[in-house]
Amino acid sequence: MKLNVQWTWFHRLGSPRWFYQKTQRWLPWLSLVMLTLMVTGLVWGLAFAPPDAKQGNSFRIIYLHVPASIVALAGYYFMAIAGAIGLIWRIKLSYMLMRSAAPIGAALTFIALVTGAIWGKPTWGAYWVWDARITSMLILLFLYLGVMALRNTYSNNEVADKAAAILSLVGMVNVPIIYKSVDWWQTLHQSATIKLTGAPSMHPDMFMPLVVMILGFYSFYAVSLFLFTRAEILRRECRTSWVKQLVTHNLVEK
Amino acid sequence: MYFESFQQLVFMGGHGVYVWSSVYISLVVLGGLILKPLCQKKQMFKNIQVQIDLQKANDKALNRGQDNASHS
Repeated sequence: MKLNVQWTWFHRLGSPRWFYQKTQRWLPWLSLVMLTLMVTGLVWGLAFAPPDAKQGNSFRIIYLHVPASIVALAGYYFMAIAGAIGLIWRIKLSYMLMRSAAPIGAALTFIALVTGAIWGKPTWGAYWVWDARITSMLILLFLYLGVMALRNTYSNNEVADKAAAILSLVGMVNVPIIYKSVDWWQTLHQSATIKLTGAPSMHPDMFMPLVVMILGFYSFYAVSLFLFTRAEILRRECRTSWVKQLVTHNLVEK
Repeated sequence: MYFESFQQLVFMGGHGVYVWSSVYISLVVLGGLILKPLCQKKQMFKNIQVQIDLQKANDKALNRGQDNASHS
């Protein structure tokens, strides 16, 4: 009995229905935070921050490139950990989150690669170079696409979830390589602007909007993840009575 | 604002093409990440509604069949 009381929160956390209802209430606020941060950061970075001494105005691409890259990498950890939790504790919601994280991560990696290529043209004189950072980032994109493809290969949900979780866990090796690639190899890519230890190598006037944009991208990630997961919950739980009730109520309200 | 005019903000000293194309592509992709799941949700609601209606029609037919059987 005692065990039951202690573990109810854990079960509730793993309940798709609980997640669906909670996110319904969180989403408007979270979207507001996301919009405020992104609009502020983008306007600040594009129109108000001073230009870079060497790169001129092209450096403003940093306000999209760096946040997208950071969240794409963090999102990979999230996807792999969600997969691991699914494998270990067999929590259905965990697999749903894992599946939802894949397309968002792929799209953010795509943004990082494309804005990086565009930035490369005026800075390095080339759109694409096969250097360590860029190549490992391209591998990240393929890993995300691989997880998405593998997830869709099997018609059996359980097998597909397990396979995708294992692939995302194996692919986690790539993430530290991406982080360290600029230090380990001689590359064209500049080294990290923001470090956990030590001051950023950037003037506060340029750095502040970047922080706002990073927070904006994180909140964007949460909003998009919630929306994808809610759609996934409906897909997998479409035969349950609570989803049927939800649909009927929705029709009545209209 | 750092720029003196709107034109300068667009031109960005020759770098405007690079900066604004990055902004455009990023915003389109981010917008897609919001719209895609919303469309999926809408589609799922439609599908489930069809399922419920079918089930209702089915139940009705079954009941009628039973009624007929009991009358005869």
